[in-house]
Parts: sequence; structure tokens; C-alpha cells
Amino acid sequence: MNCKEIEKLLQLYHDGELEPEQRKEIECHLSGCPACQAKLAEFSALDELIRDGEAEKVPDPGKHYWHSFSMRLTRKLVSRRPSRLRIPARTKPFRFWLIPYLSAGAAIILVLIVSLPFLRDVPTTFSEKEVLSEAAEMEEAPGVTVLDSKQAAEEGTVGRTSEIHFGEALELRSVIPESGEDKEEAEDAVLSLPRADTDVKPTSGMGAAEEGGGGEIEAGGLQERQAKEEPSEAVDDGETKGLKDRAGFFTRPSNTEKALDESMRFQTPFSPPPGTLKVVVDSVGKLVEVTIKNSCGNPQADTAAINAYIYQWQGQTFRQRRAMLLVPFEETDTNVESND
Amino acid sequence: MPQGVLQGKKADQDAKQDAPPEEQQLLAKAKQGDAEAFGKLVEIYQRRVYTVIYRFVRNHNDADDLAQEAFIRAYKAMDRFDLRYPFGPWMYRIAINLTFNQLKKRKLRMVDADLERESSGGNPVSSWETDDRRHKVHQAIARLPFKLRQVLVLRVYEDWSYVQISEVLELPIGTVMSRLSRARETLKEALGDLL
Repeated sequence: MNCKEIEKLLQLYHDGELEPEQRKEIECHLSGCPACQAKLAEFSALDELIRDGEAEKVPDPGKHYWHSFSMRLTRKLVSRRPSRLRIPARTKPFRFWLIPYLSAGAAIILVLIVSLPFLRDVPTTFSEKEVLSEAAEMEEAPGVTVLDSKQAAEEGTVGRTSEIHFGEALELRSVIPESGEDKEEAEDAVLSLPRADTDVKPTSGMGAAEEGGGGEIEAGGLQERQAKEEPSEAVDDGETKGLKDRAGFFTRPSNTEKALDESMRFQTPFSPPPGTLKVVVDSVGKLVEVTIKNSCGNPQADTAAINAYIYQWQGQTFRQRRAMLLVPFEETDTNVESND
Repeated sequence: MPQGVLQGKKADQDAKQDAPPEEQQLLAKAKQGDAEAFGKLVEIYQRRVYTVIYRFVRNHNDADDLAQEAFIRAYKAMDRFDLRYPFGPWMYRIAINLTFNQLKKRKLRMVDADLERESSGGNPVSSWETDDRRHKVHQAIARLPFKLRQVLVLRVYEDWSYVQISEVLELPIGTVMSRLSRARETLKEALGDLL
């Protein structure tokens, strides 16, 4: 290397920033070049001058200052601690871990919104006012008789219940005591009965027992027995199907439709006489009991009618239940007549 | 510029060299939030931090405030400190960045005012003022452009490597070398009669 190249590297050499190999080359050149040695000496002299001039410039604040330095620092740290813990809202990181929970919450809310109409249509209880109102409307329907508490007492029906009878065409009697002793008796009577809709089971009522046409039938064995006893062509009778359509059966749950279908199939081949179901409803519209009051002469058909009634009752509003009570048995009678 | 001949590896090794065992223990404890251990680190480094800050701000009150603030920031950032590296350069980086930011905010008026006061006969108690030679050196350094002065101070007074300076000031090594070269050339011209 010549002097010009060495001159470019002198500062690096002076500051100790060169690799050992380059240092050796520089030192080799310096040993035989007084001019470059002088330039290198200028770097050393300048740095010495700077250090000498500035080192004395920084005063020593004294022992007391250094002793109290860390104490004052600790005091500042303690005084600032609350602000350290405070995190400005804008610097808060987004909580990505919340995404699945938020999504699940949104999905649940969406499902609830979508299912709200369905949920609203299936109340478990009704107000007494609603029951009374519905009972009053029932009186105007064909084949329905609504009895007040006095008439109910004369009929021998006591209790805060509605009693619904299905007769030759259809008979509905509702007994709703309003107050006094009748009310207390009614409350006692209701307490002794099963309360929930879903708890209701078909029972052989007093009337059915008297007329020898009742008795409990297991739902599971029903289909097997009906398959043996009834001709299959009667099951899908075109006229029956048409009647079912008009009655709106196909808009109901499949189990209800099945049970009603069973009811009609049992009645059709034997052409039984019209029977009477005794349906007991409490003052808030809950189905309490369904029994055979007047048998149609076919125990299987009677029980199927009970089952059909219970299946229909479930999942219906009070108004829908009232319609349900009116429609199928009217048309069953029509169907029976047509088969005759 | 011959950047390739720099002792980059050596500087990097220097930077990663282990601190004294006692200091390593203090650093490990301080990193875990041990305030007492951090207090001992403060006692070790308080003079050096104060001094380097003072060289830029040139008055005790500002140097004291900035040194305190620098240690507070270091304490807050201790959980991010890499124990493989020595504490000193990291602490200096915090102190110098803080000081430079303060000086930028004040547009270097602090140093200029200090220089004017000294030139007009202020601070008579200081011993160096009586020394004309030192006074000229101080004036020459103070009149350097700020960018040149900060590189010169860190290199000559603190004996930092080019790599360390470039990391602290966030400058390329070539820029560090050129600024240092220009600073020395300027001082040579100003202090030629003293050399």
C-alpha cells in the first residue's frame, strides 16, 4: 500500500477498528514512512487534547449527591407506579382470543332470534283470562257448550277445570268456577291431578270403565295389533286422506299425524258408534286428564283417540288446541258416515 | 470507504462479552423485577451515565434529571433486556437517545447558551476556565455541528467502537466514520496551534 491508501486507513488504525492483517500492513508501512507516522501522531495528539480539555469539564456533584441518587430514583419510581399500570385505551391490543367466544355468542343470539316465533307459539301455560276468553268463544262453535260454575255444579263436575266432551258430533263443556268455595275445591282437585302437559297419560276413565270399552293401551304394541286386525286398504282410503288434508293434518308434527291416522284407521273398518272423550283442562289451559266417557265400542279406537288427542295437544297454543278439538272428530264422524 | 476492514466481528464479540459475575447476578434479578438488584446496578453506572449526559447538556440540573429519567426507563424496560449482552452499552443507549431527543426539542439552545455564558465569563468557580488551553478545546468542541459532536464524544470520551456508536445512533458504520473524520478535521483546524 502507498501513502495515499494508508492515509485513508489511519483513522481506523488509530481507533483500533482494523483487522489484525491490515494492522500489520499499516505498521509495516509506518515503520518506513515518517510522513504517515506524523499524520498518525496528529490523531493521537488531538484525542489527547480533547480528553484533557473535556475530562476536567464534568464536575463531581459530591458524595451526598451520589448517595441520594438511587434513593431519589426509587422515590420517582414509586410515585409513577400508578401511571405505569394505566394503559391508554388506544394502545390496548385487540383480544384475538375473544373471537371464538364472540362468534359463539352471535350464533346463539341469531338462533334465538330465528326461533323466537316458534318459541312464542308454544307456551306452557296460559292466563286464566285467556282461558275464559277462549271458553266464551267456544260457545259459539257448533257442538260446544260452555258451562258456568253453577251449571257445572248441577252436572256434578267440581273443580277449577274445564271439562270437554266429544259427543256424537262434538260436545265441549267448560267449567270454570270463579270464586268462593267452588274455587277452593277446584284448587284442591287440581292439585290432586297431574299438572304438566307432557305428564298427561291416557287413562281409562270412569265412563269408559262403566261401559267396558276402556283400558290403557301401550303405544308400542298398538301398531302391531292394528296391522293384524284391520284391512290395510282402509288405512289409505282416498276420502279419508282428503278429509285429513282439509283438516290441516299435514301441517302438524309427524307424530301427531301418525296418531290421528291410527285413530281413524281403528274407527273406519268397524264403523264404531261415536264415542265421547272426557278432557279435563285446568284454569291455565293445561291438559290434566283425557279419558273415555262414552266408548265407541272399539277399545283400540278409543285409546287411539286418546293418544291422538294428547299428541295434538302438545306443541299447540290454546287457540290451536281449541281448533284441534273441533276438527278431527267432526271429520272422523263424517268419515264414518261416508263409509256406512 | 474501507468498511470491509473494520473489526466488525471483534466489535460484536466485545458487545457480547460477559459482564462480571456479580453484575450478571444483579442483572438476572433485576430482570425478574428485583428493585434492590436494580438499585445496585444504578450505583454502579450512575456516574458514567451522568457524565455522558453532562457532556452533551453541560449543566448539572439537566444532567441529573435526564440521568434519573434514563434509569427509570431502563427499569421499565428491564424485562426486555437480553442477558447475553452487557448492561453498560444498553444503558448508555437509553441515556443518549433520551438526551439527544431532549436536545432536539430544545434545538441545541442549551449548549449554545452554556457556551455563551462560559465565553462571557460565567461559571467562574470552575477550575478549567482558568486554563486557556482547555477553554479553547471546549469551545471548539461545543461549536461542532451536533451530528459531528455526538460521534466524537462517544468515540473519544467513551471509547466506543464504531459498531456500538452506529447501533446507539442508528447510523450506518460508514456514516459514523465519515462524521468522525469530519469532526477531527474541524478540530484540527480550530486547535492547530495547540497540537
